[in-house]
Amino acid sequence: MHIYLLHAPDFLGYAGVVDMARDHRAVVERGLALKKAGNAILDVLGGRPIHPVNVRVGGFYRAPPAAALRALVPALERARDHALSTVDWVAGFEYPDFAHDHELLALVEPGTYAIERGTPTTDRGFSFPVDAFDELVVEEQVPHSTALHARLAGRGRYLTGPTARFALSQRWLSPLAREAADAAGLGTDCRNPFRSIAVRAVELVYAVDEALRLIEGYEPPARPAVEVPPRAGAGCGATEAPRGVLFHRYALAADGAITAARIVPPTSQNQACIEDDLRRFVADRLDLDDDTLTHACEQAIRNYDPCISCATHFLDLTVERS
Amino acid sequence: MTGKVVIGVGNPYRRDDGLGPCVVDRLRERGVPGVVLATSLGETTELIDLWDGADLAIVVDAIRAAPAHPGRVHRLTVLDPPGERSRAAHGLDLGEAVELARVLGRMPARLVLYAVEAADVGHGTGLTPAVSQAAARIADEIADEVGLS
Repeated sequence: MHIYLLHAPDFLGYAGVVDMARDHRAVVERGLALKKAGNAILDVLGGRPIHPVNVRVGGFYRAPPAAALRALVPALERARDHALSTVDWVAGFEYPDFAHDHELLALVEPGTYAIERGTPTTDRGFSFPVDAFDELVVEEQVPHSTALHARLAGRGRYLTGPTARFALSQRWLSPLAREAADAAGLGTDCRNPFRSIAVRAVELVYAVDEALRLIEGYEPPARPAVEVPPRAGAGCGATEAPRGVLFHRYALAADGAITAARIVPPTSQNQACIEDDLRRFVADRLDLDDDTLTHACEQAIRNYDPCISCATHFLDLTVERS
Repeated sequence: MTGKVVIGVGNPYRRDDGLGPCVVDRLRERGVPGVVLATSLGETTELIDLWDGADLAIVVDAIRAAPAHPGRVHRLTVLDPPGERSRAAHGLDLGEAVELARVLGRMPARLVLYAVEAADVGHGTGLTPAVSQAAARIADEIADEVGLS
């Protein structure tokens, strides 16, 4: 959805996916087919295509029969071809010349391209256990914005998301995804945030590959869930959401009631970097007229977060020229 | 897919925004054989997948109007989609789903939208009285419509 519906139209000069679909119908159909393949997995695992209802504390209410998962294979094989075509397609886009120097943070789990677990690690060699996240990631209000800004205590702003994952875990991509990344010219480091769309496309190839690998080896577990009797305590976890690291921490009373919760989404973690990118991006493009500059800024934001630019009802740009 | 589908759009945890799912619940209780009943948060591609190929798709959604007349029902067909559109927090909206489906040739043969003016879309469950009455009325009307057509 990020690639096809929200970000690609920027690169091809369309106001949105509807306009893009008029000229590139087959391409948009391909994007919808990819999304449908993902929804089909969730439908089997989660009981419905979005907002799954089959997940519970300790596991699942019902483990899918192997046959139900194997029935997805033909659609996923087609999705893998679509994902490879997606990489080809976005690799041909024209990318603005821009690079950042943010510290990159992602979960790292040696041997795998980390998604559902891992140790928070930066590209500058700093790492810490997930249970230190609460203490080391500081979220603050800043005077000029209603959005929280996160920083690493003692280090400063950092960036999370696809380019950070790629920087830290690319050696563990599946061979096909690795090949696609090379063909797209992503190299070993991607510091141009506009190219994050290409990294996302490579991650699509990896995700489909990984789904097929898991289905091939799947045997239903003896029990779909372990019992988790309520008791007082606190616990935390982190995963890689599409936009970056997502951290949750909960404290429970003896009866299981949640007494405290903290969720740190990628939005606040990336906010300071997005603003820094914008500041530098604009400084080099002050010769553009206001409309062109506004659009370029929205595109720069959608590199990271497609929701911000429309959740805030589009960008109001005020340029003080002197 | 051919046949009839009723799609209740909305979030039952945002008061009157739960109108669409509430109407679908009512239809499920009374039973409308041969009609696909679905709920959705209104995400574009999901709506298109739900109505693609249907002979008749009925979408039920709550709307905010200014000034509001809570419970007032607007029945629109695809030929006159709403001019004013609200923008969903994630993804795209119903109007855009219609436009995209048109371009891709994935519209149902007939698309009917029931839009009901909401009074309260704050956090919490349960509809306000006027919207709840509208939900009952619409469920009856839709049951008749899908039964006859």
